[in-house]
Amino acid sequence: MIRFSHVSKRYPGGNDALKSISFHLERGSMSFLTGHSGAGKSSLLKLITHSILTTRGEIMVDGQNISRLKKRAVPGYRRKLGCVFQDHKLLYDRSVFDNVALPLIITGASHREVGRRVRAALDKVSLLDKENAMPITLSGGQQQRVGIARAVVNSPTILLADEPTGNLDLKMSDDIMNLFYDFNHHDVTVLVATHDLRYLKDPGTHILELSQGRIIVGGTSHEE
Amino acid sequence: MKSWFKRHLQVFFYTLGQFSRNRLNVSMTMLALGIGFSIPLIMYSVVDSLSDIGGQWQERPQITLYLEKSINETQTEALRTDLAKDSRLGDIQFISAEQGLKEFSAYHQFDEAIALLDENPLPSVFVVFPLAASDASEIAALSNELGKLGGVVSAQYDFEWLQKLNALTSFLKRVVVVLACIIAIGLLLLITNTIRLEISNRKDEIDIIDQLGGTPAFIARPFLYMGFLEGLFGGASAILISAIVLKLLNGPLLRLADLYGFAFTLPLARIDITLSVLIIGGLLGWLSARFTVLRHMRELAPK
Repeated sequence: MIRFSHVSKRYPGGNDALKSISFHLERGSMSFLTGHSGAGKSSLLKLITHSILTTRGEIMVDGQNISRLKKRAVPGYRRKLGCVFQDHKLLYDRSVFDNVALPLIITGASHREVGRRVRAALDKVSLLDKENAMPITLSGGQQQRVGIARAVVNSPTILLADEPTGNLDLKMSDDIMNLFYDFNHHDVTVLVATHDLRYLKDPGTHILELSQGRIIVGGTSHEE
Repeated sequence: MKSWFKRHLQVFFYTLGQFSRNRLNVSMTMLALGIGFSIPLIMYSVVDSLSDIGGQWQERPQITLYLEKSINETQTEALRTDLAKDSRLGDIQFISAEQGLKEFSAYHQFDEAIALLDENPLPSVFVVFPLAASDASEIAALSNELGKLGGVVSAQYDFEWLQKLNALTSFLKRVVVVLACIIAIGLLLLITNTIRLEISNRKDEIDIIDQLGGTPAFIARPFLYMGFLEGLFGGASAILISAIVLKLLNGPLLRLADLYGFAFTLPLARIDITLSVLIIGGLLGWLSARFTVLRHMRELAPK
């Protein structure tokens, strides 16, 4: 589903975030991306969302070569992805419902469709009773669940999460992580960047470990 | 097509909602736009009325010959024959002193004042119309020559002031156009600034929508509507402001103009001016919003 071939990313100024890495994530797989801060986790996720461009190498996502994505094709490509961020990235001037509805408004879904899908997504993250609340009145864990509801409301085939449990206590982290497993059971390819070691021991999960821009577990790093 | 229309309607009402939440800021911006727009608008309608005066006046130049008061009928007839022989002149009109007095009292209701006078203060006049004389200096030479005829006290021609008026109005028209362009640039910058402020206020929203797969058109749309509506409402307030100003000016002007038999028209009464101000306002707003948003969008492009 996601295949990196010899991918390098060098930021302006000569900082090599990723050094010629290759890996493959199967369709419907559950993967964790780990490594110390600055190992290149965020860069790797941003490459997948096409927020930054590869310096060298090729990235294939769902059969599409996104290293050569045309400008006009970017929005359509991003709609296939669901993204969850450590800082939630919610809009605080509108209700929970409106936040979750945003991806559907963007695609121009009908009024009925929006209501149905938003409530289904909120139900999934157990926040159906909060649809009219403002995000700022919710706890950190609840806000993250709103973020997850927004990421899945469009039924994406790929779900990416960048440190989704970074600021949460153990119980809330488990709730969030269970949600990701749940989506994975519904054939969503999930990639979670985390440095929470507790989840890395789970059987059947694919682990990618980065260190200083190279893959040391779960893929290959090529010498140049 | 239906969903496209619905989406635009959504953004339209969303923008109006944003405006009502930001009432003070938005109304100040619109007032500033209105004042800026109203200056060339007021000037235009004044200049337009001036050139109306030029248009209402006979295009033909005419020379008025004031005759000696002591002139008798035979001398007058002799002068008329002389004038009729002159190939440079077309129509000749004679207005006797009595006739002039009658007209004068009918037009200006000066009967009472005139009744007080012992004798008719007005001279008899010949009004002559030169043929094919468009040049002011030609008319001046002709007028000079006719002034020296026997029985004629003086000759005056009114072609010159008309030409001056025409030159003045075409100059003023140019001033209005130049002024309007300068003000338009100022307004463009003003709208650009408000849009830029709005973009930086909603930077997070823009980034998130971009991340979620919103197209550039989708991201730009609320800002384009904002610019368009600001320009449109700015134009509307300009029409209102200039209508009030012209109304205030119109009272004394009407009295003045009445003496000459002309009238000023409010631009509000002229649908073409109202429409073009609204269209230009909306277009300027839309253009400056588009310019600002496009520049910001380039920053969103992946690097």
